[in-house]
Amino acid sequence: MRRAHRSVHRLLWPLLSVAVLFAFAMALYLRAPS
Amino acid sequence: MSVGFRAVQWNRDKIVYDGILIAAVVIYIAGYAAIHFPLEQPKKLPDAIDIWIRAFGSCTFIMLTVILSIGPLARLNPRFLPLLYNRRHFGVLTFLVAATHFWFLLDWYLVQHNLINLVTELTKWQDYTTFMDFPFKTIGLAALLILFLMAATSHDFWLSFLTPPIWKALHMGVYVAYGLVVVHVALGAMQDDEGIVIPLMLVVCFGTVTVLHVLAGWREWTGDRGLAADDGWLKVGPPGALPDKGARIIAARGGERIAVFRDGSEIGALTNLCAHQNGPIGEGRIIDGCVTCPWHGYQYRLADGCAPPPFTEKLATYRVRLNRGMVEVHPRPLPPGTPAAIQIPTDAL
Repeated sequence: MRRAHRSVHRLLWPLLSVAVLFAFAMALYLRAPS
Repeated sequence: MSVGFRAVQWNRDKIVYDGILIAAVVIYIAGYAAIHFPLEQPKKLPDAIDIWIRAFGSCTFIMLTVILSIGPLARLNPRFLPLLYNRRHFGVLTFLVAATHFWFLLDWYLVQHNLINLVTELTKWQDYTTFMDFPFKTIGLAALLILFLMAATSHDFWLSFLTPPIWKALHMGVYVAYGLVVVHVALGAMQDDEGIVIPLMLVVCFGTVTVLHVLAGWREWTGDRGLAADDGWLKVGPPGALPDKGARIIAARGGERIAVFRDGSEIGALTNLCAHQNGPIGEGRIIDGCVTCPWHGYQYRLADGCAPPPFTEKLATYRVRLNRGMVEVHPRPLPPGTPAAIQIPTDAL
């Protein structure tokens, strides 16, 4: 991979993981109780 | 290697790789059905279709998790490189499994003669302004569209047509697709199933992939910091420090990586980017007198960076010199295919 790809990669993963984990936590927290 | 553009080049390794993949998918789907049909005993056709929807959906998620783990695993440990070899077929198969998941979803509506309900669900615009009622099927469709684009452009024709940097950037869309799939499951299946299995699966899979990517990214970052050029030349080290038939990878500050190979008493420097998919040439070895990319086996001559005839790929080379017992490389690349390797006296080793 080129240097630019590696830079995007390093930036993308933390952002993606924060966004996805936030959405997941919200979905779990707001899940209808059994 | 290729002569211009060639159709799919099958070999035994690819056939074995694909055979294992297909067998694993069939075993997973059959196993899922074998467990869930007796357990749930569906009485109506839509209930039976629902099991197939979940079987193919969960299979897609697991396949995406494995695909996304292969890259960083191969960066962290070369023993995983064989998994990288035919990863594109893995990706295409994942799209087909995801498309089957979507087909069963359509079928679920069709057998009840209410496909219009799906359209209504997807066009209920006020739901798009909420979080918990956000149409999770739209998120799944967006992920499926990305997987389709990647599968459709996975062939070497598109790699050649788009050029490796653009092709690679396009295929990084798989990260977004994976994130969308996690949210699709969190807002969909996880809301219907009150158990702990789905949340646990999401956390373990997504967490593992994230940790692997962050670790590999950290390691790559240390390799990108680069060396300071001393009087315009980068110091590599004494010739004996270069592994025979192998390479040491260096980088100038702010520049691309350079692979400095030694083949006996011949030392040459090539760009670390393979002409095929920008694979890390410097992590490969010299096989049959040619520098060989560890990803897909593309080969180049050390002397001038050209693929041996009849192949036509060329890599950029770099000037090399032996200065006071140290191998040094000039960081400015030469035009691809320029002879630049040097012979060093055997007593310098």
